[in-house]
Amino acid sequence: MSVLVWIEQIDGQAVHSSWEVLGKGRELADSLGSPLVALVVGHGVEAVAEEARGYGPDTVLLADDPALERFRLQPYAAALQEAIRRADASVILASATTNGRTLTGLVACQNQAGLAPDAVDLRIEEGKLVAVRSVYSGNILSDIYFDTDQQFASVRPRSFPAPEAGEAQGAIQPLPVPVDEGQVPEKILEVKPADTSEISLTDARIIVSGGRGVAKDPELGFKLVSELADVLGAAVGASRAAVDAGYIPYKHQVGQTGKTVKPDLYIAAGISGAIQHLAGMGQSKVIVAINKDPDAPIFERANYGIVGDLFQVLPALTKEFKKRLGKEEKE
Amino acid sequence: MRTLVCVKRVPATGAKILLTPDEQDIETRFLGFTISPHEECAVEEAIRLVEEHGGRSTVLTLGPPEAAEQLRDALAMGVDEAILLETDGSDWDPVATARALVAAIQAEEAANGPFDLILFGNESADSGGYQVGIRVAHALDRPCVAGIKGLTVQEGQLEARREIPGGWEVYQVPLPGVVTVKEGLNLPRYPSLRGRLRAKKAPIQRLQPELQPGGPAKVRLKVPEEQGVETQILGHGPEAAPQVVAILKQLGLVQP
Repeated sequence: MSVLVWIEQIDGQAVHSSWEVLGKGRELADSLGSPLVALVVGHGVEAVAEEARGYGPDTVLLADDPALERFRLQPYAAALQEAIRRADASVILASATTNGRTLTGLVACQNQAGLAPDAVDLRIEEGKLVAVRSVYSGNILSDIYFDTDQQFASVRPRSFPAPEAGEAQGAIQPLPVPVDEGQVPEKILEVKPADTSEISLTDARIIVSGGRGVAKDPELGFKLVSELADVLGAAVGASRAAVDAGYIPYKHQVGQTGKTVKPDLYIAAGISGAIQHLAGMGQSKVIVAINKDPDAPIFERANYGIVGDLFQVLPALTKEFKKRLGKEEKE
Repeated sequence: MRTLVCVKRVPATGAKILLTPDEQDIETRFLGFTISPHEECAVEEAIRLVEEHGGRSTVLTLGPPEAAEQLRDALAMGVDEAILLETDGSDWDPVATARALVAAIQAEEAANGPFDLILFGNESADSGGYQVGIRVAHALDRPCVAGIKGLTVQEGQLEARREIPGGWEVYQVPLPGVVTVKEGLNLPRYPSLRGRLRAKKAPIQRLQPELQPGGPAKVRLKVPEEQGVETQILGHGPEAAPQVVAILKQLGLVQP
C-alpha cells in the first residue's frame, strides 16, 4: 500500500500546486502508516524529480522518455498505471489542473475505482481516503467515501499550503514506460508560449480585481488595478460585469463560469459582490474591498473595507505600497 | 459529418441551494434550470461544424422529463435532432450517466452511422465532476482531448487548441473522437424566432435508460457553515491607504 502523487511538469518546470498535494500526501501516508511515492513523468526532467525529493516522499518514480515529453492522455495514463503497479498505490492524487483532472479521470475509469475530482480537503477514516468536494459553486460540501481499494482524487489548487522544501530524501527510481508511438492517437502539432509576464489567477498568492466600478473610464481603471498588482506581484482579476462589458478579457474573470480562486490576499476594487463573484473568491484568506457604496454586499464578506472611489484609492495604495515595500523609484 | 453534443440540465447559477431531508441530493423544487456556459459553446460548435462541413447535429441529455426544455433550447439554436434519456429525476452519478450515454450512442450509431465528433462541456455547472466525457471516450475507445478552446476539422483529423499555464498547445487526433470544451471556444448564437418556433414542434426521441448500480464512491452532502466575517472599515477615500498597507504588512501578506 502507498500514497502516490503525480507531480505535473510543463517544459521541465514543476506545476507549483503539485507540491501542495505532495505535502498533504505526506500527512495522509503518515496516518495510513504507508509510504509516500511521487511520480514525475516527462523527458529530461531529472531536475523535477530531484526537487520532489525536498518535499518528503519515500520514493520518487521517474518515467523519462521522449514520447512523454509533453502531456498526452494515453501515454501519461500508461505511466500512471505503471507507477500504481510498482508502488502498489491505494491512494492516488494529482493537482486538479486540466491535465490532473483528465489523467485521474481516465485512470480511475480504467481501473473502475472511485474518483473525487477537484477535492478541497482530504482525510483518512478507517484506513481509507475521504475527500471533500465543494459543489454548486461552493454552496454545498460533499464528503466522498470510497468502497474501492484504489481511491483517486484530484485536488483543487491552493486547497493546502505549499510545504517548505526540506532536506532531500527518498531515492529516485527510474520507471520504464513502453510507449508505442504508433498506438498514441494524440500528436502535438504546436506549442506557443503566451505572455509569460502574466501571473496565472489560480496560482496567484495575491489578486487585485476590478469590477463595474471602473465604468467611467475602464481603460484607466484597469490600468490602476494593474499598477497595484505589479507592485504586489499580484495577478489581475475581474468580475463578470467587467468582463461582460468588454473592459477586460474573459481569462481574468473570477467567479461563476470564470475561475475559482483562493489567494492569501484578494483586493476587490469597484466590485459590488454579486453572489457569483463571492462564490469564486469567498475563500480567499483576507479580502480587502474598495467601493464607493458603503452598502455594497462585498463589505459583508470583506475583512477590510475602504469606502471611496477606486480612481483615487488605488493610486494612493500603489504609492503607499511602493513606499513601504521599498520599491519607490529613485528620482 | 455527424456531430453529437451532450448537455446536462443544471440549476441556474446564483440561487441559494438547499438539501433534501435525507442529505443525499439537492432540493430542486424552487430552482430555475439551464445548461452550463461550456455546454452552450459545445452546442454552438456542433452546429458550426455541420454548417461548415455538411451533415447533421444531434443533442443528447440524460435527465428528468423537463430536460426536454434544454434540448429545445439547443434545437432552437440550430441542432437537428434531440434525444432524451428520461430518468425519474434522481441523481445519476458520473459512472451511471456515462454508461447510459454510451448505450444510447452505440444504439444511435448502429441505426444511423457513427458520430465523427462527440462534444461535452469541460465540466457540468452543478456537480463539476470533469469526467463523463472522458468515461464515454474510454468506453467507445476514442481519443479524448479535454479543456479545449479552439477546434478545426479537416480530412478526418481534429485539431484542438488547449490552454496551458504560460501558453497553449495544439493537439491533433484522428476522428472519430471526443472533446470537452471550455467557455470562450466561440460566441454562442441567440436562437432566431424561426428556430424557436421550429424547436417547439420538433420531435424529441425519448428513451428510458436502465439505471445500473452506481459508481464506486458514496457521497454525503452538507451545507457549509456560514462564515461570519466582521468587516472593518478602515476609512474613506485615499487617506485610508497607509492604514491598509500597515495592516497587510503586519499580517505578513505583502512582502518587499
